[in-house]
Amino acid sequence: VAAEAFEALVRQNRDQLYRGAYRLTGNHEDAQDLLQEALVEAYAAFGRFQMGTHFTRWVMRIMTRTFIDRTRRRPPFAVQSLDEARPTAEGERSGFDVPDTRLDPEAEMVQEMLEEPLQEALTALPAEFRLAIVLCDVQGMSYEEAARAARCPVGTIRSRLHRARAMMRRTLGPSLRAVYERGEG
Amino acid sequence: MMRCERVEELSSDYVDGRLAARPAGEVEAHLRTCSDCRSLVGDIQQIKALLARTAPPTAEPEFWNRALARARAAAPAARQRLNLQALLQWQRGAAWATATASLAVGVLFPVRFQEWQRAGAKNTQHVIGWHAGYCSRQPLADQGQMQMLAMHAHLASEE
Repeated sequence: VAAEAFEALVRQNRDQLYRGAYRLTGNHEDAQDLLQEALVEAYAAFGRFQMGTHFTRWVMRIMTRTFIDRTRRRPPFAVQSLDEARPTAEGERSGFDVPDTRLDPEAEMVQEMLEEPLQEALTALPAEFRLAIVLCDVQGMSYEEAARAARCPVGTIRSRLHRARAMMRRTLGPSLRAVYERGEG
Repeated sequence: MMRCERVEELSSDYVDGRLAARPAGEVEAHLRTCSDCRSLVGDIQQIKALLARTAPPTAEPEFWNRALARARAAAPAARQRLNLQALLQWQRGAAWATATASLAVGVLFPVRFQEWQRAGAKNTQHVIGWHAGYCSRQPLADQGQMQMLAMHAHLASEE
């Protein structure tokens, strides 16, 4: 029963989970490795998960620890262009499955144009700054939840978030303005 | 009037709605008159909204089947690792507790003990003095009291 419940929760929240892993790593291969490792740990610890609480945030806490361990052990994750095709298990090369964002066409177009610069700006951040951004802005955690996941004081999360946003603004600002100005024009 | 540097410092907290009413009001008053700070706050709001809304490409369904199968297969080993981690954490905690206790006993206790000895010697003198005075006023009823007096005299001579 626990296995079925775990599987159901993972499938139900898969986009959100994958988004967290992808935003942290910046490419599919590392995102899948990170998520796989986090899911193994989460499944083993599933007995401690309180049903009815936020499953993605619980897995994100586990993924955060895995991510911190990995960034200490390994060099930074590589960035992969979205235009680049990736190899499948059968050795073929396929494109990416882009999820249905269910937005109006104009907003969808803006987001598609900004997706790659957004991920590049994220990947350029130091790992601990990226983690703060992903926990708070991508996963919607409060500073307190993010601090608990990253095992650091709330003030550290606040300061990392502030500095990360400033750095992202410097990198992303021109693309952001160009896209919105084009939209207005 | 709030300065641009201060608005920059507070910009993240402002966008996240974590400022109290008064500083938030001061930031807003500044934003009405300063286009640079307005652009800063606007950019942060847009980046935050993009991060929340933009969905990167997701994994193909086979990944999830594979990942869940691996999670099930690796669960016993992972559980053992988690238990081992918990044990190591407990051992680390116990080691810290032992080290702290040893420090307290090895360093703090001798210091305190010397203080207690000094205080104790004063108290002993006081008690002996009082007891000797008391006994001298009482008839020596038994051999025990005589021995006590002899001990007092001996202790007093040592002091």
